[in-house]
Amino acid sequence: MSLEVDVRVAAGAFTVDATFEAGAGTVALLGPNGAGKSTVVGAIAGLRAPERGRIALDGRVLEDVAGAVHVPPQDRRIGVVFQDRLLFPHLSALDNVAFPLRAAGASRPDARERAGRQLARTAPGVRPDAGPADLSGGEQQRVALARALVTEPRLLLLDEPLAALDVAARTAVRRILREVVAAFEGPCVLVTHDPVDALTLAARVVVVEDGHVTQSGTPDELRRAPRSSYAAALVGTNLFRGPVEPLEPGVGRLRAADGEVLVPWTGPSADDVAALLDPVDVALHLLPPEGSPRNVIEGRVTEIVIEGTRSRVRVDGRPSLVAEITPGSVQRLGLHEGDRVWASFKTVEVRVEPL
Amino acid sequence: MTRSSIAGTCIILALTACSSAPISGGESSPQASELTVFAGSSLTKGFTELGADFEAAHPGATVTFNFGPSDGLAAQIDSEGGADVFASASQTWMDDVAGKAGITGRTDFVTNELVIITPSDDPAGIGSLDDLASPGVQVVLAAEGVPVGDYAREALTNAKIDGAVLANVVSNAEDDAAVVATIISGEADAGIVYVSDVTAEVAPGVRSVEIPDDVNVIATYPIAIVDGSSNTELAQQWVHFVTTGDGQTRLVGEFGFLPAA
Amino acid sequence: MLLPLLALIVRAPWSDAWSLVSSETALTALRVSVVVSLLAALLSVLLGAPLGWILARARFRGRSVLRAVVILPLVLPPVVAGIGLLAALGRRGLVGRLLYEAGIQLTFSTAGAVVAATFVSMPLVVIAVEAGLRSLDERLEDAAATLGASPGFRLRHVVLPLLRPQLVAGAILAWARALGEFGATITFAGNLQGRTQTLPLAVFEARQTDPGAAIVVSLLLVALSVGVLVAMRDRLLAR
Repeated sequence: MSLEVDVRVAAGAFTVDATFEAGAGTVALLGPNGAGKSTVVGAIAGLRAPERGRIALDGRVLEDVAGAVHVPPQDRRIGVVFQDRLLFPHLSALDNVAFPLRAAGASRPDARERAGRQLARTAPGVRPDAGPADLSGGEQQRVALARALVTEPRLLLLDEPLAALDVAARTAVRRILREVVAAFEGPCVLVTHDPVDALTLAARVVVVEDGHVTQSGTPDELRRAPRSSYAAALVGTNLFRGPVEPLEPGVGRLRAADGEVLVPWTGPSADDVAALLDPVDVALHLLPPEGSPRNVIEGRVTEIVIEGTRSRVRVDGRPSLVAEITPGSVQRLGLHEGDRVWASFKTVEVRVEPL
Repeated sequence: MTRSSIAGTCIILALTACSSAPISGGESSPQASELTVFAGSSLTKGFTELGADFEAAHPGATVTFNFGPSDGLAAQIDSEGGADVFASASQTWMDDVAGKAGITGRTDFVTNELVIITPSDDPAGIGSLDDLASPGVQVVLAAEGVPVGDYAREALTNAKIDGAVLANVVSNAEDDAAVVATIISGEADAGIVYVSDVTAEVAPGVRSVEIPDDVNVIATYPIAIVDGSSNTELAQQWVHFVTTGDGQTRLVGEFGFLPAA
Repeated sequence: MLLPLLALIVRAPWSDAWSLVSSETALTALRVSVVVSLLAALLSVLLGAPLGWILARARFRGRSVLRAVVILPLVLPPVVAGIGLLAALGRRGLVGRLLYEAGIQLTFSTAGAVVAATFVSMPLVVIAVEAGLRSLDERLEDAAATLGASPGFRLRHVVLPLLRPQLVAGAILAWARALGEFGATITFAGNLQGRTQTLPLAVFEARQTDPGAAIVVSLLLVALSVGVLVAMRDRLLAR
């Protein structure tokens, strides 16, 4: 169960080169808007012809420009969820989900019955006879997800499934998505510009910038050694995840698996939130610091990576985190791997995202 | 806004041009006047040329023609007026105008007779009137009510072949000009029109087959001044011109009409 | 707009109206009109919809020229359309000659009247379908393809259902245009009762002999058109 992609695809005036593999589990294609991610999705789905290259799924060649192989989209067995859903406006929610079954030759009653079950699983609470226009954005995205899953595709392509949703809907859909992705047996490619989605849903991340793959690896690998400023800014972010409880007005305590941090929090307790902290906002000290930072974490330096004007210092503590400081600061502090340090950051620097 | 104002300006200019034309004409010629003649379509060719002769002989005079099927013209005159002179291809429609719009100075000025025309290559091999009754011959007549159409049916009745020929009719054309056009294009095998329809221009494109005198219908063309004419004097001059003058000479000599009895 | 209609109603010889409407001439012309206009509307949809699709979706040189040619019959005087049809499909025409040799003659036949009416009304379907396809999100077809739908299935279950309002509107417009068609019909197909004499031709002929009958038959034509257009209004507007 694997997807192999090695293509060059033209998208208007510019071209996208993408080379990556995906086994079982989720790969996130992460990159800024306009980087060419959706173009790659189009090529994998068979909607766009690559200029060169090859795409294979489970050993079956779907696209081979040199060998003149092009399996049309309808024969690829790839489930695609589009950012703007693309539900059929003339069909009810149920008939949208039944559509791929009907296209595969199922009788109408049979297709409807199976579609009804899929709809109840993936989009509970959506009236089967509701038209797409009557549904909220989140409901539409769940119906689209049900529609993509109902024929049990070999590959799931999720193209910015959360981007067009408001915060509340995004949380709900993300929860469904996590269940779906966990239960899905084949490879899953998630295209997103949001590191939260990439870091919480994907086992591996492929960073796409300006039409090229600039880096790929596990979230942790990327965090420790991002190879571009984009990757550093987005993937290289510290992520703390766990339940949060209110502590004092405006502040909550987040219990991550490996330690606690204080984060901005106004609501009641929540089971699972993601807190993001830019390594640039983390200061390192050789002695316990005094003053305003509420979060002070004692730990040991385990790794120092210098890339150009940036030094990323990994501190193992409770929790562990990465700080980004200048190479000059590393020298001034005389930091070496194994040194004891105190990392500090302000609560307000943490961005919290409910999951 | 600019587009509509340009259009508006154009309309205004056009109207000004129209209304000023008689004035400028008046400056160059004190007798400027207009004459509108409604005439059956069989007169189209002859009257158009006579109009030029007439204008040459009457400096300042402008003759405007409205040609069409006589029945249609009569209906127009009866309901809308606008004609100084009406020249009809049949007495029926002159009677109609006489009874409704009113006329003066009615006189017969030419007669016409019918002829069979076929495409020049004569695909159906038409040698006589009776051949029109052969099965499969595609015949075009002017519609009923149109004088030439009624005359043609009368001639067929005279020859006692109306039933067979009418069964061969593939189209009832709006007037004799349409019959001629259909035959020239070769779409039908034969048609019946006036002798005068086979003008010098038409002759090379068609082949004429005479209809025997004993069954042929002689159409007598009346002409008259329509009541309410704004220019009776000029109208009288036109009637005189085509009845006895040079106009008569050319109608009979060049355009295939026969003199009135 | 309403004035000529009101005048027709005022001028109609109502006492004789029923006998005039039920006259053989009027009923025969009505039958020919209904047959010819419906067949023309059907042909317009069958031929015009694929043409609209080509204009909206295919990319090739000379597309704007093709569009102009396809729409030309709409702006052409109908008589010119008729003369063009004669030159092409008449028994001495470019193509008609071959048809005639094969025993098919379109001129002076009901089929010819259908051809003439189709020629002038098909552009309305082409325009409606092209506009409809342009406003249709092509990515819906992409989505359908990724869901396993073959091109034929996409056409039947996505494109045609979504295009239905435009197809219906185009068909009604084409039908209405075909019903009122006069110039191309009389020029190409002639005027023969029971075969090519449609209501407009009957009106024209009756005008010469019996103006009252012409008015009554005109009103019959109006009533037929208004009736169908009113009955169809919801389908026209409904999406």
